[in-house]
Amino acid sequence: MRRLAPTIAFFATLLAIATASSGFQWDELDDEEWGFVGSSPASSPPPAPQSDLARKKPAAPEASSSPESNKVQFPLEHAFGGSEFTRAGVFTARLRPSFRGGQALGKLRLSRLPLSGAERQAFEELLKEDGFYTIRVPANPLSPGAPFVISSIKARCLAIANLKEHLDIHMDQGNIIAVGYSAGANCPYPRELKHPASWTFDTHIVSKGGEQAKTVLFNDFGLGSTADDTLGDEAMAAIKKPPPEKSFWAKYWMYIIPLGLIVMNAITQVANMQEEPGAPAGGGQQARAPAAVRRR
Amino acid sequence: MLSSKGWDPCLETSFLHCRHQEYIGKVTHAVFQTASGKKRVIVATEKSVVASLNLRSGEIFWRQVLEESEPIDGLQVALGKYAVSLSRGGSLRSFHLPDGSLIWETSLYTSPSPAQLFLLPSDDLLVLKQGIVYVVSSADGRLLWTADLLDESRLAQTSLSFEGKNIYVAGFSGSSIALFRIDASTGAFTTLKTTEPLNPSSFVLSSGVFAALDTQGDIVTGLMEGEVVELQKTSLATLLDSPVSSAQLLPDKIPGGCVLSTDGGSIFVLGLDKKGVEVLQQIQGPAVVSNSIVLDGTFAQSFLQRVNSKEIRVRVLSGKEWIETAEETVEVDPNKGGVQKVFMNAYIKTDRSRGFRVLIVGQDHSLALLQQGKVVWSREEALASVVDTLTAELPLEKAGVSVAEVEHDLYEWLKGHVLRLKSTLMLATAEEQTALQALRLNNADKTKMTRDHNGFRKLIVVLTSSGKLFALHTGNGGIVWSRFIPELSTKGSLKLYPWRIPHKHVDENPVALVLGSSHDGTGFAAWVDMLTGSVQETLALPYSVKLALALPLVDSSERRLHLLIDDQNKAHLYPTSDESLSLFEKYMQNVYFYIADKGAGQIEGYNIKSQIDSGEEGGLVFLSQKIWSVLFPKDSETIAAITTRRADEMVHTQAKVLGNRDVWYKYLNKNMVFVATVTPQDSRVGAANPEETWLVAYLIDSVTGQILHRVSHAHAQGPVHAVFSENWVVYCYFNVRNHRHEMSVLEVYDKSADGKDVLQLMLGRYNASVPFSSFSPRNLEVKGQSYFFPSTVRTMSVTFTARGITGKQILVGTIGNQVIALDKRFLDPRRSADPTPMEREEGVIPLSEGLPVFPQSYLTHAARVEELRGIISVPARLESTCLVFAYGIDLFFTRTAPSRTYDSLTEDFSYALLLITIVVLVVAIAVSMVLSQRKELREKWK
Repeated sequence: MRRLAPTIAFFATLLAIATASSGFQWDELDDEEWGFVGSSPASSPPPAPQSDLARKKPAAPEASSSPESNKVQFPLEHAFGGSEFTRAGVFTARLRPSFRGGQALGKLRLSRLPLSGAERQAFEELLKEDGFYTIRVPANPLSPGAPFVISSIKARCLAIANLKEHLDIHMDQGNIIAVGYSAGANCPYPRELKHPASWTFDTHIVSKGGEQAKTVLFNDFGLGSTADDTLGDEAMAAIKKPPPEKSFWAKYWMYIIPLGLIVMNAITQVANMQEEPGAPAGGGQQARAPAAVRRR
Repeated sequence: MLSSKGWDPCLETSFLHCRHQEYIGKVTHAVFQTASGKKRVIVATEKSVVASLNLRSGEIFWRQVLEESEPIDGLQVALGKYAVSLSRGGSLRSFHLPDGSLIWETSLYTSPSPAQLFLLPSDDLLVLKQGIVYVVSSADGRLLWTADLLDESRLAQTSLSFEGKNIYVAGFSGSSIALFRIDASTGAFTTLKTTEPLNPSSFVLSSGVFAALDTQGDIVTGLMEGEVVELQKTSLATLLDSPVSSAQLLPDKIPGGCVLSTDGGSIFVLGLDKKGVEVLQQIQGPAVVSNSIVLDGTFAQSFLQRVNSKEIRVRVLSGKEWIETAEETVEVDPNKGGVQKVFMNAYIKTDRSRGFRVLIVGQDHSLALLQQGKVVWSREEALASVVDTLTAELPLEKAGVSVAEVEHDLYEWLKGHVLRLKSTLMLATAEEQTALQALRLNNADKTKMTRDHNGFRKLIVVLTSSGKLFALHTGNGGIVWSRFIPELSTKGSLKLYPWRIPHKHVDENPVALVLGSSHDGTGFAAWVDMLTGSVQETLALPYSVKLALALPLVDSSERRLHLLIDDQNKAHLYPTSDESLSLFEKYMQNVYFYIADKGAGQIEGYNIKSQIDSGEEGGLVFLSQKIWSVLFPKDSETIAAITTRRADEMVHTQAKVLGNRDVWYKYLNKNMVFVATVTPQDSRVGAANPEETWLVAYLIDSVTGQILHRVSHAHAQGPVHAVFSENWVVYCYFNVRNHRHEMSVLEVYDKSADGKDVLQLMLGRYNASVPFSSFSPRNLEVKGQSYFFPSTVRTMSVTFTARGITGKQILVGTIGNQVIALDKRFLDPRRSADPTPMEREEGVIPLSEGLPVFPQSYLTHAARVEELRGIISVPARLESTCLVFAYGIDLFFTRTAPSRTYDSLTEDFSYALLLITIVVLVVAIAVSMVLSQRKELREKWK
């Protein structure tokens, strides 16, 4: 039994670590989870260099062992300068419990449909007039349909970035609040007209769950320190760390120096008087005292 | 409930720059109290203020500001010494007439339904609320009896009258009339029946006689005696000797009679008695009818008619036969609109005859007393409901004017300096002190209508909900001009925009654009000269304005281009000239705007697409296209606050140099919008579960709709107030778990410029003057921190200075109706518990959990700006100083210097003392020189 106890403890710890780590996985704020899918398998591989992070992701098994019921699919639709929205791709995501209760979407992937001939033409048209390329996704991916979240980008910016697009998907408990759509390159105004080298979208998806703010830091004075609040920080700092005691000289130099000067002045005067001929210091004093008496 | 009396801190010596003006709002009830002692009138207003005004001057003796959400339904003076008010929530409050102190308070019911307050002949109070009668003792507020006439079903449009020991009540129960007789002493009541069923359009009860107008155009009368009321029918056409298409009985009571107004605007005074109904008097043309008063046992009532735009005719009818006893024509300010309410009072003249005075409430919310054919005083109560403000620079001083004035006032000037000197040397007597105080307050220099060197003298143009505009001088708070625009008074939302601020043509006056729009889909625009108040142009708009954008474009005559977005998101360009069109076309594709729909919980971004044919309406109309949307989940987030940066804000530097010589670049995107959402709340008290309440703060680029930052605060609850300035946002909310208010700060820094040195910044590659595109990716860093704040916040603002060099103060309007200036350095996200020496050198304050509120940081000193709604800050020309204007029911103006007045001497700096000191020193030097020379000479002779 004695031997068993540490073993049990060891296993218990292992178990605890395992559950903790799995719990940690569920709790994470899915902030930097990169999903990447280039285009459909039929199209050529994306020419743009991918980041290491992005390259790793497609290698992950597409059809994982998770049950089908966890998977969600919802469409990505696009429009060219105010035209009708047409299907541009399909998002797949996995459902999981969110840290604030309810459900959240994880492992977001997009399979982008290649642009058709008509769409390319429409895109070229947009490039000419510097119009907007607009995308939309359903605000509630669990039941796709209206309402939609819309986002747009100047087509020229996309072309400058060679169709490299960034999708920041802001989510809250399974709802999509907004899609931040940006091109992968700088796009200063005035935008130059440039045609993309290839017609394949290079998509980077970041799903953002939002961060939680720092709470108010409680200091040493505790919660009910309203009196300290009114004191001000300089005063509070003074309470915390009393300043080192100043030396006597540092404190009173402004009094000592003039005093010293006066004393020195008096001494020199007295010395001068003594030197003066015909006026001995003692006599002077004697002469002055009766005068003072008389004044009274 | 707050009261304020007499003392004004702005009259104290130490607070020279502040001005505090007290108002009461639009008067709804008034009771004269002229019998004994001070002549006064007690009024109740739309702003839930009960006040006692001096009848001689219109000054406020006292006022009590009650809950604004509970309008005052009734006001009476009981026992000759108490003013009793009835609030919508059922609170009956009695105030002592001489000083306004609260004597007693009774809560009769809690439902927020309208009620009426009457004074019984026994001097007790009667409250009639939808069929329930409460009688309350006026001495102590005790409930004497109550009678539920209809067993909890509602009685609408009730009317009540007294006759002897009985109280008669009539009202609609459903569509039929119910009549009651109540014993005034016990509350026992009988339901009266009528001989035939009645479905009247309007009715009135008067001295036990019931009169009603039925749908056939007959007037039906009945005496309320016995169990059954016998009704008599008289045709209105035969009674009035003319065919009448529609008429109405006015609820204004005339004992033994009633007042009938016809669609032609004529007013008939009808007498009612047992025999029937007869016409006693007829007044042609539209008129406003006052309350009736008792005079020597009979009654009198006044009727006001507008003769022309400048004159009002007051006619007083009195006696049994309602004969005209007095008539006056009073000249009034045509700028006040029509008369909405009249209150009459009688007095005895010096020749023992009877005189009348009337208190009139104008369409512009003003209050005026008419007596002896003159306007004795008037109060501009519209200023209690300021909705928007603008500031205008005064014209430049003409050459020569200044010198002449100084010479003219040379004696005054000298006297002032001598007084000041005396006061400095503590030689001044009390009289001289007061003279000096008066001199300082009414300094002619302060109230001049020209620009001053420091930019302290300005005009504050305020727009009020009545549709009246005022220009207030910052020097003394006086009204320079006022303009009533009647068309605006019917519009719901009113806004002011700077239309034309002349820089090149300095001789021309600045012009403001006033926009009003209402829910019925119409709008109204007026262009007003900001220096003279003259209306240059008005325009009725066939659409309601959802949003107005001031574009960064001006035409050759310096008119700013404005886009008005209508409810179909079409953009209308003003001014509608070819020049503005050609200017706009170049700029058009860079115009973005967003519309927030709080109800739907979404924000949508739009871009101007193309010009469309405006058809018959004319004008320049453009089509917009939706380019982005942000949709907040309805069940977890509702929009609580939206704040943007001020378009005209000046930022001195983009770089922030840290203690360790690092440089951070502020992200100064003018299109950044701060949005705060909160968990939708159950309105019940205590329903908020701290675990489930969140506040989510968003920073959104309004051009692309990108969420630049998103951060959530747990346990936070609205209301949220926020200010946005430079690269930071400060917002405040309530923390449910800690039961405290918190203030959080977010600062946004642009890290994409990292690694670039200061030289590049100086050469202009990364500084704020170089435009950047929202479509380019940015690498931002957001720093945040939260602090406790010791007070509830009503409104928030921030100081603006001319060049943005001076530090910032956050101006917080507290629940106590005061303005606190909080240094932004306390809201620095980089504060830490133990700052490094480098951070200390930089001025980072050690972290504390709470924000300090020093007694000196109250900008309002001891004054209270009742029902504080907004704080406006305007930069002066002096960089250190900023002008602050706060408005609620009261107005308050002061100056603040967030980093102290480092660039000027104080206004009351004693130049004379300085001069005298110099002279004395020079004399002393000269004297000592002579003396030393003499001494030297003597020494040499020895």
